[in-house]
Amino acid sequence: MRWTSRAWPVGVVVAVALSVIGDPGPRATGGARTDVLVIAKDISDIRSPDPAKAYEVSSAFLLYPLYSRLIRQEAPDYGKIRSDLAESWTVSPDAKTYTFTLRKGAAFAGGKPVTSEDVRFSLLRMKYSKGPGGFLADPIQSVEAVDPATVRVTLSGPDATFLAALAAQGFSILDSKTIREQGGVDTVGADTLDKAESWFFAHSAGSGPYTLGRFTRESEIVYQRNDQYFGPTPFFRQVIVRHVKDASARGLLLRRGDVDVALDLGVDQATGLRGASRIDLVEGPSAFTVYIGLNTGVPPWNNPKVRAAAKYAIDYDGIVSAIMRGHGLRIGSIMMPGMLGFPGSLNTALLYPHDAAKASALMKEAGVTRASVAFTWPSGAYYATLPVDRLAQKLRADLSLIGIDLQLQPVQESVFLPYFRAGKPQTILAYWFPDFLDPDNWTILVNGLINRRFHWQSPEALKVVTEAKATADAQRREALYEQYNRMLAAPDAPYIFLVQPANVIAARDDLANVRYHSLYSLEIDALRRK
Amino acid sequence: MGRYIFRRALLAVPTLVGLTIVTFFVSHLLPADMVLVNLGDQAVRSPELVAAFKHRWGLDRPLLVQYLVYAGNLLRGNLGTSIATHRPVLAELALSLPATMELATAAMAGAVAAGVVLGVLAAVLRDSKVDVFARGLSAVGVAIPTFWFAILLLALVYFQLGWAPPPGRLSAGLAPPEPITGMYLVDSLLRGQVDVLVDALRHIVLPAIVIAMVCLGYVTRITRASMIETLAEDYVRTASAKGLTAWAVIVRHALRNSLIPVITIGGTLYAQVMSGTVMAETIYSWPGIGRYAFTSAGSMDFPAVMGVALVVGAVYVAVDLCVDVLVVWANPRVRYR
Repeated sequence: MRWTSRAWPVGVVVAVALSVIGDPGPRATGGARTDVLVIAKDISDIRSPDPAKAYEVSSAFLLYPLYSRLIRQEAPDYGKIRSDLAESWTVSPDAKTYTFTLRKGAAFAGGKPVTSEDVRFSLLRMKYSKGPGGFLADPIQSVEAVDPATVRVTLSGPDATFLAALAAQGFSILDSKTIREQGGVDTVGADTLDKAESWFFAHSAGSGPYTLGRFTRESEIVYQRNDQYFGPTPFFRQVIVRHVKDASARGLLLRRGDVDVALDLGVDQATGLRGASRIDLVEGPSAFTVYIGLNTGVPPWNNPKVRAAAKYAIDYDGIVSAIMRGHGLRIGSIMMPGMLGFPGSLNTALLYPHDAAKASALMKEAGVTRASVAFTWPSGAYYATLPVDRLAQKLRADLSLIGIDLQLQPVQESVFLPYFRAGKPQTILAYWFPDFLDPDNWTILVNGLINRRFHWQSPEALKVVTEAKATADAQRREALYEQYNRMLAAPDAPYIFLVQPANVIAARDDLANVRYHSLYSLEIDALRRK
Repeated sequence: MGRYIFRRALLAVPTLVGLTIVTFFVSHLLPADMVLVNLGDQAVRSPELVAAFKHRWGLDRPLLVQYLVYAGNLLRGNLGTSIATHRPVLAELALSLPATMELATAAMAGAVAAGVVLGVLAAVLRDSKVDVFARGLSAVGVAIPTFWFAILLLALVYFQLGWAPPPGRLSAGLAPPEPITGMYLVDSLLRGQVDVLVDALRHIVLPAIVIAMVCLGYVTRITRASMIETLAEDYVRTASAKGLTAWAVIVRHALRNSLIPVITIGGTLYAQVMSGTVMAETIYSWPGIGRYAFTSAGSMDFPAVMGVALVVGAVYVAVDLCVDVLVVWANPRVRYR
């Protein structure tokens, strides 16, 4: 998914400022705010509230409470696919035909029942709108409304990942009648013919727990409870999301009691808020997995022994404890631990120890004593709690101990992407953030998208993931993805897997059920006051 | 005078045309890839999506043709469509420009009022404690990093003392007034919504102080220097000699003549502030034109960036014109030709 962040070192400044002027202590929560929830979040990356055009991390957050999708995944067990609008479903053995039976009694906010026609319209509108997330609908060949409660999706080829993909924001189910009236189109050419997008800036047309009261870019989102919602009635009548760009300012608002929840804190704010009175810190695994990519086309990384040496040279635990202050964990492969084929136990088994002696020995074997190589990353970024600039400094220090001199080359994010894509960087500090939570989304390190940029291929691994994608049987898939993860962890693979940062939420201690969701940030409908 | 203003306004046309040419071609020289940034890593793998995107935004045509199409639309008052939001750039500017205008005007009003008073006092009471204070404050105001001052003020006045509301233009959940000008202060006044007016006023104070602080330094220094020079003039001595009160001498005789450089510098500062102060807008969650330009540039949203450039250019031209008119008011010896 697309994600952008530009941060200034204000966290440090405010930490200093606060230590000088002291803490005013706890404040009363804003009195009458019992059934109104106020959240502070940076929502500046939202481009469009039209599900067919939205592809940003924050737009997933915006759309989550407004719409239902066919299926859902809840934190923390993302491997389990749960019913949302679809009550049940069957997948053909060749993973090409998916048939869904819709839940009875589900209705849109206006009262209209959700039918198979709405599902058909929403899926096809998404496909033909050709938005940035439109590629997720590429596998769809046809969608049939068999009867009002049954919908059949036929894919152009076997694709076992499709069920999980349906939880992505783009597959939000819209009230087709309303959207058609606003100029919505679900046929070829929708990218130019569809006129409904501007309508979404002030309205919603979903069957989710909330409806859109108001959306102002870089200001505010106001949600109103949808009394027709088929699920459990949400506790809060109104939810207000305040745009607060700066993470330390979000912390201040929470401590003063002006907001109930502060989302997406950096490591400095998380440390600052630890132990603050009447504030709970809630931590969840973010969907970022961070790694170093080594360009095998240039020295010294063209030498597999040097690649192996680098993996032993990094003080991984130091990264977790000093730079992330415990807000995250080490990873041994690219996937989020917990995905199918990558259980926590396998993750632990694949970790490289920090072994300076072994690293030096490998360097000697390789016949390389000194090497200088460029190191690029998007400057100023935070991956969840993780300050990337500090991580880059640490990696430079670690690798210099075995004679590899990383020349730091931070670049602006919009410049970073094309540079990375063109396969130019020699060493890169990169991350992956999935579009949906299926292991296939992490096969980018062999399927040509990312590995090509490092001038590296693994035909065996590619074969494994290609087979896994077309395999409907979950057990068989699991075994294949396990094999894939083991292959990625091989000493000569051009990836050094580092960490999965945590996402830290701070909330007033009178709130219950605060859970971070790796895709939607927060399951707003589950929140309640104690 | 009317003819002069008309002529000056005509002169703005080539300026703005030149501006569009420079901005357009410079922004296309950037090493960033517009298709990639807007479509994302995955979608650019599909040639069909890339082709559709390029066609949609006219990127499949030669650069010169793209410019001519853009200029043609501009002549019809169409600033194009934002690539990020697919909404007309004009509509988006209509949201962000008033936000900045409101903030900039409040900040400048405060800075000029305080700066002129302080500058005059410093000049009249030269080398006194007031002068030292004024000089110190202006040095600090000019030197202080905006983002640091912004966050410090927020931490102190909002967080520690609780005197100011949190960042944002209005309190959480308070609906903005139905737009007339887009400036909340003005619109709430016109609509008679006193609660919104008061709330908006409370919210504008801190960010306005942050911006005013920078301008204050310049205004104070210029006023002081200019006043000191004027106070040494013969006509000031004459005025004192004929027995006028100190007030009359300073305010009616000296100040008006000292104002010319203040107006000039004030105009430049105002235009600068009107083109957006990203740092103050970021920390105070102020969805102004600085944020809009910053976000748009980051996502290679060229129509939006061009729109901002045009608006900023127009602001400079307009402010320049106002400065010229004001200078004549302050000093009628200056004549138009």
